[in-house]
Amino acid sequence: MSVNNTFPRFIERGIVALFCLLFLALGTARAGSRGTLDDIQKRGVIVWGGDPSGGAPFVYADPQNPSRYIGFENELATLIARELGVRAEFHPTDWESILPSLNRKEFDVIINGFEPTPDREKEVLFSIPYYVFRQQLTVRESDTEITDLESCKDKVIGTLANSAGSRLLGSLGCNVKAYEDPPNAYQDLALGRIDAVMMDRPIAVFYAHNDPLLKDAGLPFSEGLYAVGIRKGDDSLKVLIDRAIMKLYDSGKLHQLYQEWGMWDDEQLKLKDASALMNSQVGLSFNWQDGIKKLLFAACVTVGIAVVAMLIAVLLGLALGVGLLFGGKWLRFLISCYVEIFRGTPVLVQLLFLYFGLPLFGITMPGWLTAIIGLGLNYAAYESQVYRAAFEAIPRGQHEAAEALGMPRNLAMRRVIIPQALRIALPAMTNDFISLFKDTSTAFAISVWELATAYRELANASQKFLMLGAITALLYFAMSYPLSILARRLEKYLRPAESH
Amino acid sequence: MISVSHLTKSYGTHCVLKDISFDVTPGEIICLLGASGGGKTTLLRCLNYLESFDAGTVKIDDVVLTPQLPQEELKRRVFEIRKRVGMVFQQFNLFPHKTVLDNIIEAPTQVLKQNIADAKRKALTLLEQVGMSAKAERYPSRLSGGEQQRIAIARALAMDPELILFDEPTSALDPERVGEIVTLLKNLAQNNITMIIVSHSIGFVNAIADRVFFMADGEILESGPPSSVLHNPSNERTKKFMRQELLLE
Repeated sequence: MSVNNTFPRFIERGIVALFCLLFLALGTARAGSRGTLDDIQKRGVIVWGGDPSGGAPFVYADPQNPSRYIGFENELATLIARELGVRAEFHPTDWESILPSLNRKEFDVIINGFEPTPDREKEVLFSIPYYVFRQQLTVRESDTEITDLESCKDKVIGTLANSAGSRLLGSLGCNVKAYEDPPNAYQDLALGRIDAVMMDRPIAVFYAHNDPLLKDAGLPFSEGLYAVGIRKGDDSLKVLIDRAIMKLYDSGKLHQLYQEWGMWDDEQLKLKDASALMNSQVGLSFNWQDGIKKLLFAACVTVGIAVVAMLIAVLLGLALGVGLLFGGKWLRFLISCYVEIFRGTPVLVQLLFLYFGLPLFGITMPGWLTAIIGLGLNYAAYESQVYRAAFEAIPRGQHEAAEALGMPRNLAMRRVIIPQALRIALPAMTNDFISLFKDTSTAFAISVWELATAYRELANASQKFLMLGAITALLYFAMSYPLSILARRLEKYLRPAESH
Repeated sequence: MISVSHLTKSYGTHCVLKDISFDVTPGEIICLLGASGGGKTTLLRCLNYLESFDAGTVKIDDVVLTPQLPQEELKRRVFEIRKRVGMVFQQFNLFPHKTVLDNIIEAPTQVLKQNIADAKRKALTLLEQVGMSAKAERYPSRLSGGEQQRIAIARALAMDPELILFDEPTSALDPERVGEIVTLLKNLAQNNITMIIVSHSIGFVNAIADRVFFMADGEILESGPPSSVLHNPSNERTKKFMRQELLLE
């Protein structure tokens, strides 16, 4: 009818076009293309992927020269490449998503303590194994209770996420805490946050043997294999790599490599009959029912953290707000500093600081408590501004009317000012609460098993990204939408009839 | 019963009330008239200590307010005064989160600790008096300006004040409503309630005042019944003001 009709339509078309472009771009995007065996031979380079962060002794940055990578797998890759007549090039990647990265062709093969499991075998090919590893339990020097896996039943055990260890512990029903980086697990063990760490023996040897606070508990147990991960369809590449590994074993080069790294033991003799070894391995695969249960549990953790953190935020925020409104010059200055610091830095950074920094001052808190306190402190800064603004929004006339009627300050606040301020603050508060719910996902960085962490781990373990992703999104929505509705109802109830 | 003596107030070097003194007999309707910035609203607000002052005394019945008093004592006396002195504001200042009835019973029940049922009964009577009985359960946001002003008057009356202060009671109203307020105030006057009203509307002042104080630059330049101050002023500035206002009327 009016001119207004054409303006919104133009915007609508523009948005639709934008979305189409986005989908098109996503559909055709590829993170770089790596070839098959032919490509490798044409290039003269085989690119292998591994996670260097906390990656000792596999592949990690040389402490004396951080721009260089070292590690037994670094050397193994070079040896294999030489057998293939090419050069080896390392491509650093993230352990959690190493398999999808291989399939996205970010590199040619995975050489990173990668264990063949039935689930993984559905997605990738494996070479014959190049190492036989076992699990090793590590405990604190002072610990006399834990001597083997049995005695860990009621304790908290740390392990590497998405590994043989995590699957083994999961199937035994132990209290597991999964870590992205092995050194964090050993750190937490030393600090007392967990009771034991179970990881592949090479890792345990590297990180724990030099630490006087830690010691081995019991003998190594439960065998596993490392093999090279290869994309499905690259069978010709697999044949060559298998041949290379066999040659390295027969020529004694493998023995020499492992001797140098203190990793050789009699178990490695089994590698002689590598293909038979592959078939005998019984890996543990992903359980759907278990997965959903884990997601629900993680959702409960998320709710718990959010609720308690919000409580802290509201109470502390109220105190800070009151201080800002009625405090003296110095108090207001201090509070303003607090607010600017907590609003001006990312929540993630604050949580990391509290979790990894405080132990240096002697304060060690478990991850969930750190998350609650960190989020509470952060959101208190926002809440203080909400309450201050709400209070200042009440016209001076309201204070004066109450005073003129003979009401003392406290009474006027309680009966006249605060009820009105509350109505103003409520929309902002519910907004913040919903925001807080989603910010609980930052707790993944400090190893809290909340919903985002659970999704990441389960999705990487099962490769069911979309399905689990949809369920996770639904869970987040199911937690925050009722809040929205409740808030709207509350506002309606508190707001008297609209003016004309 | 109301006595102001040598009242003085300054904002820094700027003196807004200069040595003001006057007396008011119970039941009188006093109007403070003058141009903006003359000090009339400030003077009004000093009477119930919404504004503090630097020197002089305000005496209402037996309660004396003076700045030399220690803080605690001053506070106590201010509360005493506010129980006996009501105020009606230019912007009404009704409590938006309460119904009309709740607005009126709020102070009697919370400050005077009256029984709620009694307070409600009294409130309904007052609403009748101001002609707003039908609106008892409404919220202020649903009422027109004139209606809100009358509720505000009822709210002040609920405390049984001896004196009611009015700060520009008709400035926010349509001209038609002004007449209604005049009638209402005249009715109240019959109950022997003293009223001090700030206004810059000569018509209103002419209709309602027993005595008019013409103020400019923080002083009362002239005082007397409307017949003299409005129609036959002796002070030059008063003359000037009346001439201007009458021309604008």
